[in-house]
Amino acid sequence: MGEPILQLRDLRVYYYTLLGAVRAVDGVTMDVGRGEWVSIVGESGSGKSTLALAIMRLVPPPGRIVGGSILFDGTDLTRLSEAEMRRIRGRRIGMVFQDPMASLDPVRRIGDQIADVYLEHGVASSKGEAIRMAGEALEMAGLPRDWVDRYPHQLSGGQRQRALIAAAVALKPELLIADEPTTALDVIVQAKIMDLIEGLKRELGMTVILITHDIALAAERSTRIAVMYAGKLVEYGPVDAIVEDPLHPYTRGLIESAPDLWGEKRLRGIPGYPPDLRRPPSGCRFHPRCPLALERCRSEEPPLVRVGDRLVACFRALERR
Amino acid sequence: MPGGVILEAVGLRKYFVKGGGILGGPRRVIKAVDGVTFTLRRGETLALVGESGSGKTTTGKLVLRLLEPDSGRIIFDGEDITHLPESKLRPLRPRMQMIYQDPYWSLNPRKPVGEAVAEPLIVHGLASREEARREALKLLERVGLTPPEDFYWRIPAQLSGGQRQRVVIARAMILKPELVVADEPVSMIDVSMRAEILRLLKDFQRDYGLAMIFITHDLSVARLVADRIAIMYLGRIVEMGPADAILEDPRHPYTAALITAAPSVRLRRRRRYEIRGEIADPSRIPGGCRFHPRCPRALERCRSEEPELAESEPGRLVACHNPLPKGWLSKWLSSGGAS
Amino acid sequence: MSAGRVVEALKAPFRGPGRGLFTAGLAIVLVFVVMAVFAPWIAPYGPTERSVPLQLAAEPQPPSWRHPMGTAQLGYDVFSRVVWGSRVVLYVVTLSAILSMAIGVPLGLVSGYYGGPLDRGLSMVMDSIYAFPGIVLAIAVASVLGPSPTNAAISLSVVYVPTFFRMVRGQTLEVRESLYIEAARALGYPDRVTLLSHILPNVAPTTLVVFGLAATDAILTEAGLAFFGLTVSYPQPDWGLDLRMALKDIPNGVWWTTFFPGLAITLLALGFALIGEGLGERYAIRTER
Repeated sequence: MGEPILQLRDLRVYYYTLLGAVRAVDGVTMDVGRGEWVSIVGESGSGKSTLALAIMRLVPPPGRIVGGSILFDGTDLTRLSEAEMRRIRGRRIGMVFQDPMASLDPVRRIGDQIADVYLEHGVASSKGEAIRMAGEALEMAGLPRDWVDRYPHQLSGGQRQRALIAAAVALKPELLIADEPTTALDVIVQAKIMDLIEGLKRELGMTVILITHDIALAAERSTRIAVMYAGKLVEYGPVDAIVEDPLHPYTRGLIESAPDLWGEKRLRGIPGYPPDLRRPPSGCRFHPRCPLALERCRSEEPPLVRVGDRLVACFRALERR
Repeated sequence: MPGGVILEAVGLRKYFVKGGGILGGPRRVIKAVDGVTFTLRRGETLALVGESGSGKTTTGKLVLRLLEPDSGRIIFDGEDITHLPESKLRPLRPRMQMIYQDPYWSLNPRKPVGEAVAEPLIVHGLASREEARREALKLLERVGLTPPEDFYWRIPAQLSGGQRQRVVIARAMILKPELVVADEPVSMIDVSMRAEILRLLKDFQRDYGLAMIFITHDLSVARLVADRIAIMYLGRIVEMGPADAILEDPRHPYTAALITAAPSVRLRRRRRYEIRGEIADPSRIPGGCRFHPRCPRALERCRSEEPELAESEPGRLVACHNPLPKGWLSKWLSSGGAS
Repeated sequence: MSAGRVVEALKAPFRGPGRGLFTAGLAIVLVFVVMAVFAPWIAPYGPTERSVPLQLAAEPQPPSWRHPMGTAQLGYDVFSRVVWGSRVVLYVVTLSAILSMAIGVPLGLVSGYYGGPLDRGLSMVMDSIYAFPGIVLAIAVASVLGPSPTNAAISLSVVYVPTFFRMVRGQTLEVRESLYIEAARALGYPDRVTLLSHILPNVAPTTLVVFGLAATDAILTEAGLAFFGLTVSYPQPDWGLDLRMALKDIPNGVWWTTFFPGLAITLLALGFALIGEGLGERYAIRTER
């Protein structure tokens, strides 16, 4: 998988609320190789979106990065000034969010909004040149060049997401982070947007990090899948290994919980509810819901350990080694 | 197993008018539901499947008379309720219930959830306050909110999304309804907790013999709960039939596109049946077959003539001039490889 | 509702944002309530009792140990009159706030929930009342009804009914669109149940906030009415009236006869305002004023 473009080391992001610190991301260590497509999968409260925001240094208050490092191409992003970070955002790391309508200004033309990226980073010398480049970016995202004149409301949901992807890849970033980019779209459009991201990845040689709650969506496109639960990375490895032989009971539960047209015709869930991240359970955070929990899981936190070509944080999985 | 007919919807139409005022912009007629006909038997689940803008939720609200149909008829248990005034409808309401997609706003934020569950019995005079409270505790326990005494006085904000949806189900089921419209009941619930909600619905259905209209955008969820599936597109049913038959052997090109686009862990590398573009704005429905601009199999005829929903073989209906041949899907997938 | 839940509901304003404002406001108002209730024990003199020897009664005496707020004409003790005066003010203000709430809230609920011609008619009437400057309207109504504390309360409530009506109607319109109101219809609840059990509880916090703000305003307007002699007649004690009677003292360097009644008005108004603001912050309610 080549040299790593992104290395997270014991990253911690907490939200400080009146009722205590919410440990949204609580010590995540992982590498993403250049040219990979890594999907980070988890349910609400797993910390996956916070992780994405942390990489962009966009964690909203009262949240902040309280520890660890984010090495992007060798540079620790947590140590950069805001000005230095601005030069990286958009230019070297692009980001696409869940709700295309919320990310677009409803009263400005699409072209102007994409042109901003070129002007901010000093790539275009004039407004006219920036608009022309925006047209090219739209074309790259599968929209007609002359749609630079359109307003967001004239576009369908899928087209808006294409316009946002155009803005995100306008400066040909090395890394694209897509946070649930298709959650608001229906399945047919979703598949097309995924095709688009896959095509752009190939064309521009990008690395892609996809944040999603849908393990099936992740399984279809990724090189590796990272599964998060309650702020922790619980399993990380190649797609085939993860979906065909999950080692962590949560990963297995998540796969069995996903209804599948070609899977079993009965659905299994995971008993119980996700924990309160202000007071996470002792030991393994998954132990209260885990069918395989041992006495040890209650008291001792399982470390993330290499098993073959993947990483897993589970005492039961280690027994299989 | 399915019994007698509990609900008939005949030619339902519902148009919404937007704009047209002095400042309202151009007047647009949104044809949300544009001629929908189906029947439902006791104990049966019909899944209405479609993307946003297909009219599935509007259809669900029409049959419960939460919206007034512009035309068509709704027959509930042999009685035509299309034009019943609200006062005559009220005594029927306990027999037909709705479960909403959004478990946050379908509960009164200031009402303790136990009271919310007990209230329908009290309001309809079916139980005294004390009896209703006991029954509510039983229902809370039944939907897995245990111990129920702990949950009774909590307000919705103190519950998770999954727990709230259980409250909504308990509130609907305390009335022992005969018909339930469940509008995307699991789409806002975390994946690992969906199975439990679906199982609850199925259990109540078995115990009460209730008929269910299950509205969803997700075919793989429909497959788990439905006896029959109706695929909706721009306000119409384009294909309807037994769930397994539809999913294994679709006839309508749109159904085929939906099936092959659904993400899957089991069949990760499969060939997708591609269709063009996106669903049209329901205020600008294309003439002829409303699907023709996106359809890879469109004929000249499809531009001008709207296909009727007609029986293609016993028990199966399709609205298409050029349907896919029998056994198409398995051939498509086996000849496929990566898309 | 169990006793425990009532206690919980009462504790709510003391928790969360705005609790400081609320507690401070409540403390101020309670001081005046205690003053009004225990006036005979707190006030050293009767309200119309001559508290100084006859030869000193003609001239106001400055504050001293015997008369902490000085004396007014005819030898009245200013402190005693402020204490006794709180009775009239609190009576008028509380009665008017309750009256306007009792009329404005149900009308706002019904108007917002049903809409239609009833709503249009009511809104028009309320808006035209609202458009009048409060003090002018109150004076007009009070002059028609004649001077008395109860009539003053009634005329004040005419001013504040539209305030309650507008807030409650606006909130009802908003709540009416909530999914849980549609759910109530799907459950076959009659309108009465929907209104009382589902809309009212969601509108109630707003009503409390408006109560605080309307009471604040009412204190000032009451002082205005009293100033024009439309509540009680001199020499009965009322802060606004005392203020007016003492105006002629100002050119003579006699400040205490106006300062202390004025301070009382300001403090009580501040108390109610803090309660309203505190509740508003607690329930995150925006008020249009």
